[in-house]
Amino acid sequence: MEVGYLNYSEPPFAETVANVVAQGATRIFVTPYFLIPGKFVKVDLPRAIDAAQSAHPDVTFILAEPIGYDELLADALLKSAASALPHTEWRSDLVQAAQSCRANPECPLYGTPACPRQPFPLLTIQTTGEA
Amino acid sequence: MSVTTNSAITNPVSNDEQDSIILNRAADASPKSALLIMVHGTPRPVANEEMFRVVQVVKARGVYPIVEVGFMECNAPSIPESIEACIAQGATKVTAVPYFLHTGTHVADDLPTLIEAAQEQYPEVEFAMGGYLGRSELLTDILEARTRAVVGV
Repeated sequence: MEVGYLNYSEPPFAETVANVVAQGATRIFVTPYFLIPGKFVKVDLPRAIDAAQSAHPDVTFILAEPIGYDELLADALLKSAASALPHTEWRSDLVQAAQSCRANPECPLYGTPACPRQPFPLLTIQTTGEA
Repeated sequence: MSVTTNSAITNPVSNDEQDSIILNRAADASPKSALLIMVHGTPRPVANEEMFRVVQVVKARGVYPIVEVGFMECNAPSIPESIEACIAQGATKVTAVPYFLHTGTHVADDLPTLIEAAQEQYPEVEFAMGGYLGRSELLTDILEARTRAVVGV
């Protein structure tokens, strides 16, 4: 089981496909980790699969549905609302994200004060001040 | 075939109990609590239909007397507009939940900024924010179901 990204994150979809093919995969089930069947699912992902199919003609690709509608999503929303975060933690994801990202010029946060990889004073104050 | 009396159908509980239920509901609704579902938005608006079905289920659960959807981009209403709609309906507390899977710029920075701006604009309203949808373990179950549907096991 592998993860591949359609945007600037690593590893890109094509690399992940090559990786699982190298591990001997002949059938690849692709499950879109997307909430809605938007442009990524309906346009970008089929293109990525077409390209992967051309690169690996002997491999069978099977595409699953995106998350879409599920009653469990209503449960998840209500649970999230019931345990609302204190104001001081609203941006804690920035700090957590820094643990698994690298400074990537293609990332929309790169070079902005919100980039957790840049030692901007604002973020330093937020993270140490609330500790 | 057994016959159920009309009173059992129309009055499953006594009048006193009914009053008490109505009063309790009124108590729950005051102060009026709103749930604001913050959604990314899509250049393919038809793709929002399944999200709206989820919102219908949330409404049907009846936990929040006010439930509104606001979009970050592409679709209307915007998040500030949907906050306004909550307050126009009498909300004294607004709990905002990101309908997002990832901690991108929107979840990590843009959404908190919007809620902070709303707090400043409406100091008499209490604003709260929940974690984004992708934090929920329930997503694992959904992904498994989507995958099983094509794997056939």
